Amino acid sequence: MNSAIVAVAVSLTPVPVAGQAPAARSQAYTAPRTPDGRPDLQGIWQVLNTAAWDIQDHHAQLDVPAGQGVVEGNEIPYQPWAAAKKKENFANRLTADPVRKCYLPGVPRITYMPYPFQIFQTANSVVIIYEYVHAVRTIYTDRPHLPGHIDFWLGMSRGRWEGDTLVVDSIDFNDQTWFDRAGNFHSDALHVVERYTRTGPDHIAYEVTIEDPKVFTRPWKMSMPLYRRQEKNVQILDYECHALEEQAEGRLK
Amino acid sequence: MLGRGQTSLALLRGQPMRYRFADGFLAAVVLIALTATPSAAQTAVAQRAALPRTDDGKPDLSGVWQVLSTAAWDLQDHQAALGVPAGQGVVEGNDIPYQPWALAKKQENLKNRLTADPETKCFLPGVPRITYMPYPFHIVQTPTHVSILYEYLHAARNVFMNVEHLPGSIEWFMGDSRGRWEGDTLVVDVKDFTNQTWLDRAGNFHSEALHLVERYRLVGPDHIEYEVTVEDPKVFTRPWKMSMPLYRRKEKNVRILEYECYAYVHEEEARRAAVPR
Repeated sequence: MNSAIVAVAVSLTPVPVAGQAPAARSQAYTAPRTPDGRPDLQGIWQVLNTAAWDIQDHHAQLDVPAGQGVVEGNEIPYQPWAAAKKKENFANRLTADPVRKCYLPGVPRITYMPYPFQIFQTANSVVIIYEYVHAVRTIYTDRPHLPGHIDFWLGMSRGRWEGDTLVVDSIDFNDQTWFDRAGNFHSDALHVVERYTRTGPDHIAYEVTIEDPKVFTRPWKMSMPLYRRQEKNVQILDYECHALEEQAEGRLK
Repeated sequence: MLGRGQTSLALLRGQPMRYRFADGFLAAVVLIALTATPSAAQTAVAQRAALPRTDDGKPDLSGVWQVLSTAAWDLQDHQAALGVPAGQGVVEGNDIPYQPWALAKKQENLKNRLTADPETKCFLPGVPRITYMPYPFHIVQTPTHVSILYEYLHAARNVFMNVEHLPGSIEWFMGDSRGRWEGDTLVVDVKDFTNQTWLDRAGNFHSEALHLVERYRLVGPDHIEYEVTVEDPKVFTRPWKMSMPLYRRKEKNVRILEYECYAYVHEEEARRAAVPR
């Protein structure tokens, strides 16, 4: 039989989408669309990992689960001076991690903080609101980065669509954030390219390329799934870090 | 709206747009009616058919699962605390029907929770708390028993299928678990608990008369609806329920690791002792 006819016949067979085998769905998943025809990434998402603690393989510590690394090859290509600096950060991590001071955790760390975030899409932007410290990120998809050098805690983000993937290019970071509690760090030359691709009704493949010629010898990658929160009543709540820090200090006094 | 219907239909089905409908408008409308809006019953049938199943035809719950909630911190609605996200309650109606003495005890527990919670001593957290600890667990399923291997404390739990509870009254931190299938739902009856575990860090507690009925219902390839009925006539005025989704861990390399609680408590104590005051 002519293979084109088979393809048409199969594609027209009235089998509801929910009846497709899971394997087939993950191989050739096509996301629902927004009114302007883009893959719909909207909803409340969260990671299910311990990358905010350590993006590399790590054993457990008190109240922190062990975790397999999210870095491709598990190796971060530090320049020699930077490898030494990372070790020093690690030794002092419980006080030196900027997140301990309630600073914004930067990108991509804010994605893998253990707090949910909500994605909204408009025709010319993708907006992400994060439960953690009420952070908001506006990712314009219709214009280039601003010229000049304003430093941003969360970088300056611009998006574009490559097929069904949202690609977010972020630059103009400061050098005040870490990638994790383990002391992995970057300079103000950080350049982050994030890729968001729907892989099913409830999952996004999240991939990040990190480039920083002042700190690393080459670009490197991390990746992890994002999970759509399934609780029927789920919504973004708040995490007001400074107030909670003060409460905790008050209790310890 | 036809154009939009065609578009969404084609995209939903992963079908390139070049396969236009030869017979035009009418054929397209009929096809949309047949495929894009199946009745609720059709959808339910399709969903059931889509569930992965074991050789004996039961929904296949095997794999690595985890909650995405803060229930282990507090089962009820709660604001954030340092390092702990805020959370919406998992208790039906958000109300736990304590007897008056028990409500007073719960409030005392809450006040002393940072030291009094048995979990801070690395005791097994009991059921159902071990399900909603923020650690993954691995379900292994056979026709005669379902084993759940929890990363937290290396705990293992055997749910024996279609057999009676042990006679007598051996008390267990994790209870004595017996399972059965009710349609596509795994129902686990658990009793013979100790009174040494709490239901969360907020001091919600029970007595040794605790009786649980857990229900695990696969609602899609990657989600289980987990519902628990809690009964304890010594502590509560009536049975009450909690529910939450369990998420299949999708990381390609995912496996259960380990959490050796006692060792970490010792490490932490040593670290604090080393800090000059």
